[in-house]
Amino acid sequence: MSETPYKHQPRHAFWRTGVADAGVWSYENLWRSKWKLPANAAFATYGSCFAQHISRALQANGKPWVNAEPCPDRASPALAAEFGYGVYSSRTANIYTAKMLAYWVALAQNPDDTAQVELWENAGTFRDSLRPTIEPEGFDTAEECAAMLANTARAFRRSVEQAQVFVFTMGLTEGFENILTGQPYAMCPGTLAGSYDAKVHAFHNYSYPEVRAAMEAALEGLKAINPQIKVLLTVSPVPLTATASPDHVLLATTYSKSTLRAVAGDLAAASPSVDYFPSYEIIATPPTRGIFFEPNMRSVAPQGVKLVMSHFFKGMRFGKAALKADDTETKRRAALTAAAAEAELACEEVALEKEARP
Amino acid sequence: MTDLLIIGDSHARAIANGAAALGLDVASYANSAGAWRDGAVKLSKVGSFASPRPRARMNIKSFEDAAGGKAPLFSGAPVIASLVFDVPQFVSDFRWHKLGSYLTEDHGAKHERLMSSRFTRAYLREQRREMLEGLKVIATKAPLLIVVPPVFRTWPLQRALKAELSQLVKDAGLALYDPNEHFADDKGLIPDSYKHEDGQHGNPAFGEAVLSDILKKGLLPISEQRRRA
Repeated sequence: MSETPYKHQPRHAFWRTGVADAGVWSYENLWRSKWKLPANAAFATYGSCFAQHISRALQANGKPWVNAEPCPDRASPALAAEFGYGVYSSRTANIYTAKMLAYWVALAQNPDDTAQVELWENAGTFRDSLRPTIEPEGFDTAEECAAMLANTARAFRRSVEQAQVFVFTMGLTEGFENILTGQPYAMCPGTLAGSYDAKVHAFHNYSYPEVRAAMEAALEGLKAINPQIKVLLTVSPVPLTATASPDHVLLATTYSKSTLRAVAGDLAAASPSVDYFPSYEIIATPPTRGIFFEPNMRSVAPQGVKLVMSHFFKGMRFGKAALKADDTETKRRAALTAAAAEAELACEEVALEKEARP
Repeated sequence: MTDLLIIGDSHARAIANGAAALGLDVASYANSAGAWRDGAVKLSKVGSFASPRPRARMNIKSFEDAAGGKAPLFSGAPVIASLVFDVPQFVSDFRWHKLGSYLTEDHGAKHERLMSSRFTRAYLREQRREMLEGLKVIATKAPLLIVVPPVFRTWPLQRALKAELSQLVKDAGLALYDPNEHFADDKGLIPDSYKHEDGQHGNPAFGEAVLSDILKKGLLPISEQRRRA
């Protein structure tokens, strides 16, 4: 027998030993991070709806997760989530397409450009077309709506500046754009907000070259904000809710996911600062026989999310050395705590002076 | 029956002193705003207070004894409450994350991290929901008046929070008295002559002036004859 490239391949390179014998719960060496990160490396997370699982898992595992647009700590988780706090590293809501990511990165570089983003009015409340449901009832005025969008663009920028790793979950190739301005929309106008106008709003199913170009523009923008940033790409295993293409939704899903998967893999192969993590493969490939999907064959079941994140942390490599912490913020908060304690003591003394009895 | 019950945070003290100066038979219970905020003391469902802290429970017992019963807040005696308006709590919460609010008159202009008007309102409402529910129950059992703390210094966020908290009280159907509307100077501040030495609270003279005004306006059913001074 002659020597072939397969001769010295490890067990995980073969389907029988890597998949069939191992079983979906026991894949070995499925993913190993390209990078050895500092022990306290901070992650920023964005993307399609599956990305929020990564946000939550990072926090649950005690990894520094950048929250560049926080709400007060005393807000209940339900209230915070209702207003889009704590879901991603800033309040962008879901970013489904590469075009949308590139758009957000451009806004982060020039927050004043948010003034050009289309706003929608309905019954006296205002929504921006990039994240129309970020506030349950919309904003009180167009000015506030625009100001809050610029606020999030600045927060997005801070999240990139503060992170060592930018995790982006790619969701769809299908999207809607404004024919006149080229602005992408978070969702089809008229579905949850705004109104659909065929003369202005155009459906677009982005091709591989378009997705790749948009991702390259986004990566370039991210590097311009933070030259040291590393980008970890994943592809959401969640199928399309609906397609606006003429295809069956099953075909449209395959087109979307395979295009995104190909772009992500090629970008990771082309750059040492880009890596690919296989969320999609863990959940949606044939060996799983769909066991990680809920009965609607779309939503990912908690055990699937848990398995994805176990591979994530198993493959992530952290060194012992930590980045030096900036103690400015620590000192500021210590001063606030001391001032609050002093004020509380003063109030307590007044309140309890003879139990407030005259 | 006790003429008047005065409950709340540290701002209750000046009013209690004022009530005594007017000769009213008063029972009062106060704890720091932080104790209310952290749940170390709460309005109970049976017309008094509840606390996991032994010292607070002892003070609650003293209050019940002074008021003549286990459920003083349901006794029908008029109640003044210095509650709901712990503005420093919110200011502190916001400063922790350098947050501004679009709700303020300058729309949080100096802050790079903004909360929307609607989120700010929702946050205030959530933080005060339980307390307002408790106060609403008291209001079904006794005449209740919520009194706003004195303002000795002011800035946009403080003004916005005070206005929103006032609205919450009104939306809950509770009676509100804001002494700042009656005693503040043209800058919106309570004069120094009414200031406690700590600079944060009203002094006994302020409490007396406030209570006199409340009685004069007939906001609580306490007759002039009840004054024994």
